[in-house]
Amino acid sequence: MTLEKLLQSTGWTLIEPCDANPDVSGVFIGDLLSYVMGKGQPGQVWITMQSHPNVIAVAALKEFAAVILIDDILLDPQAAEHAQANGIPVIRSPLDAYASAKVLANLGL
Amino acid sequence: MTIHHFDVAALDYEKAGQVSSQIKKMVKEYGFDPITVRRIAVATYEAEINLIIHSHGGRVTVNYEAPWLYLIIKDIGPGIPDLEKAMRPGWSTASKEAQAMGFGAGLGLTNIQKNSDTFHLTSDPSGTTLELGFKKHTEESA
Repeated sequence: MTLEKLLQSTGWTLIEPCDANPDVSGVFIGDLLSYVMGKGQPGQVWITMQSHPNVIAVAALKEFAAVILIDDILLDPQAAEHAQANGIPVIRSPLDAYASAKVLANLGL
Repeated sequence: MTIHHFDVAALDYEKAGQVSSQIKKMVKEYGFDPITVRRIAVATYEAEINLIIHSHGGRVTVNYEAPWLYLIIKDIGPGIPDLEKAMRPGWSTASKEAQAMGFGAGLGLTNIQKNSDTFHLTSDPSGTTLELGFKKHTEESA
């Protein structure tokens, strides 16, 4: 599934747009950065409640398809700048992590 | 042989990831395969974070001697009191401030060891030195 299709299907908001429309290979959930660094896989969307600039650094290094911030959490302004500079899409979900994951699972991810 | 140095300041959370990002770009240019590039990126990121949250500051040195990439991460203290505990997954001495940002999972050194081909860690109160090696896979060796 492409990121564009994921956005259409979920209705979630793309808060940091980027030109890329990467394929989404799966989903990873985690708020501890070393856990995410150790276990995440390229192409996954990453569900997290962390919104500081380091999230973007991790997403870029891990080559995630996008970051999904849960519970309508606002993105730190500096993180937004980093997201634009690194071409990392950031999506906002109004749901908690579990409910967000269920939506994505129902889409076949 | 190509050598590069990157200084990392203590508690500079805002810049965390910049050195790893530069090294990732560099090793891509050296022609490392994508999987090894990601392993180097994970190890470098964790080492950079360790310098920021645990040390008084330090330096990452990248030394490329084909087919090996060597990373030397050296800080100026305060040292790791118990290396055995530090290597234990889940054990962390990170500050509350660091933990609030998602650091301090106690997985940093484990991630570094898992992602490197050679791993050597020494520490005393004057500083910690981590030496890592990553072998570039050629088509014949892949």
